[in-house]
Amino acid sequence: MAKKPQVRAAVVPLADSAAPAGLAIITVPPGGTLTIIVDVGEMTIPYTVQYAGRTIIKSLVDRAVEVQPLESGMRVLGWAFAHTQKGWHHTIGFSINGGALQVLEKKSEANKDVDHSVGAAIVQA
Amino acid sequence: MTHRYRSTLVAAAALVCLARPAAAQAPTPESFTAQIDSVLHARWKIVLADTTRARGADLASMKLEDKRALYLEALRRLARDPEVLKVSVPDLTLIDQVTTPEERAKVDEKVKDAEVSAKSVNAPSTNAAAGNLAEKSGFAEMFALALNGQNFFNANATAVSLNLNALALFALAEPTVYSELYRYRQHDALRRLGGTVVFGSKIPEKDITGISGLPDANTLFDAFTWDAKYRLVGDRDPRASKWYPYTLGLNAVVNQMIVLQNDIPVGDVVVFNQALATLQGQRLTALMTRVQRSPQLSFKAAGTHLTQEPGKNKYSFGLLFDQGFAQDSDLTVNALYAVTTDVHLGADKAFQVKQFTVNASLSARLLRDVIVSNRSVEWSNGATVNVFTNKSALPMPVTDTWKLFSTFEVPISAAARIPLSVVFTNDKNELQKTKYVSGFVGVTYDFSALPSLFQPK
Repeated sequence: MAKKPQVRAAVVPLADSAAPAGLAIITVPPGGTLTIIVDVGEMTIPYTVQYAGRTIIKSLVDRAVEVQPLESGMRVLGWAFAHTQKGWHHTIGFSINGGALQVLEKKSEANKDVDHSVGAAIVQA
Repeated sequence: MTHRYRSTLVAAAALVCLARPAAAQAPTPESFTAQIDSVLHARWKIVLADTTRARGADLASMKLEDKRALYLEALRRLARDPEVLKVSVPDLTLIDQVTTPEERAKVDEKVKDAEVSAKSVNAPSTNAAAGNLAEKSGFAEMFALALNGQNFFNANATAVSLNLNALALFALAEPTVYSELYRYRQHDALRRLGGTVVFGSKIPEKDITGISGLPDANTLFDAFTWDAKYRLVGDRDPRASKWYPYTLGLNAVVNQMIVLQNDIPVGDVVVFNQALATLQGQRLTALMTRVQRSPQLSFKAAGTHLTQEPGKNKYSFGLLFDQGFAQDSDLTVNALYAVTTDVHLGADKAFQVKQFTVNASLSARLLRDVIVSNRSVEWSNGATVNVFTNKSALPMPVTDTWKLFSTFEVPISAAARIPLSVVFTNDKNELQKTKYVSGFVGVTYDFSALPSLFQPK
């Protein structure tokens, strides 16, 4: 069985690219896959994940969704979480070609984080 | 699914079909989400242009601070836009969404961790050992055992409270697969029913009979107490279906506004996110305030039984009501009717004591983060009135009693508090446990926590 090519997911400072400061860049190699993985606690307000202006996840539960179709060039990947429940937590990350998870945002009440957040990254495919 | 929400989803689906007559097949959750995306994109162009024009500004040449303010104003307008409100109906299909086994495996492999928390209560309105305080109309949701290690009424005793909920008898859906809203919706009627049993408490005779002027009024008796509560009106849990128009509707659409990150210059994404997070936080606060303010009414029945001697069984029933004000204030009112049977108190013939009690308190959390980070001063004011309804049938004279109280609990560290309370009553026996008494006023304070401030950490 052919071994999947190990692609190192690239989250690089935007200072090194054309994207604005404060946003990470996710570089997906040609033909590669990008999977968004979300782990949440008890949710009452659905969290959302968008890619290129299209909501790809709107959910109350843990999800692992492959971004399809991946558009060539730079596109914005965004997410929003709002929590009402005690003990809330969420982690959103991505995996390229099924590789290791790279965390985009990890927040929790235990860490005394704010109970709502909006974030974004740039996907370069 | 209630008829009301089924109707709103059908109405929303109809909107999808009307907007896209060419795609007139059965609507799916994905198509409803896509329709919201479409409306947000379309309306954003108009709202942003209007907002910019109204400010007489040129977006391209604005400073970041000004852009953030402009985006926030435009997002607020968008959230109020009639077209956006039309699609901000609760999407009930989200409740039934599950994590598939494939997704579960990926999430578990990458990031899964678990957290557990517990809640406890001890039925204060009818459990004399808990102080006969005004009792909230809700109850512990999960099967829980609460061990109260404190001494009651200075008696050398401990009590065990066991909080029960009918829900404990049933298995709920697996939390790693099903949504919390799905799980909360299960056995909705049973979630309204709860109760408590308290073992091993020691209760003064006056709290069983209601008669405080007798020589033995403060004699302690071993007692067993039970209660059952049924929530009649309201639900102060954000998971309840009454909040779906917000949780699955308005607040969900605010989260979905992130699709607009695609409609602004990429250099503005960070300030846009800050503006959207501000709106998101305001909407979240408004939702939680609405939940907190909502009224809740429960029916309660309770019994107290002496375990070491016969007689003096006390049965109570009545209503418990909560109504919130602002974000951190709450009015609690209890109205309870109680009958104590087989009472002697030196009389030849056993008799019954019947009393009606109204207990009301207004509590507020003040000065949050001022004295200690993440903690507030708890301020509670209230009144208790106890009226005997069968005075003429009693073998001794009894007096109706009333009590006014004001209590402060001031935090002085992450764990320690200084309690301070003032009581004004027509029943001097109520003041026996207070530290300072003047006339019918008693003051209680406890500064024992203060030395901890000066201990090295």
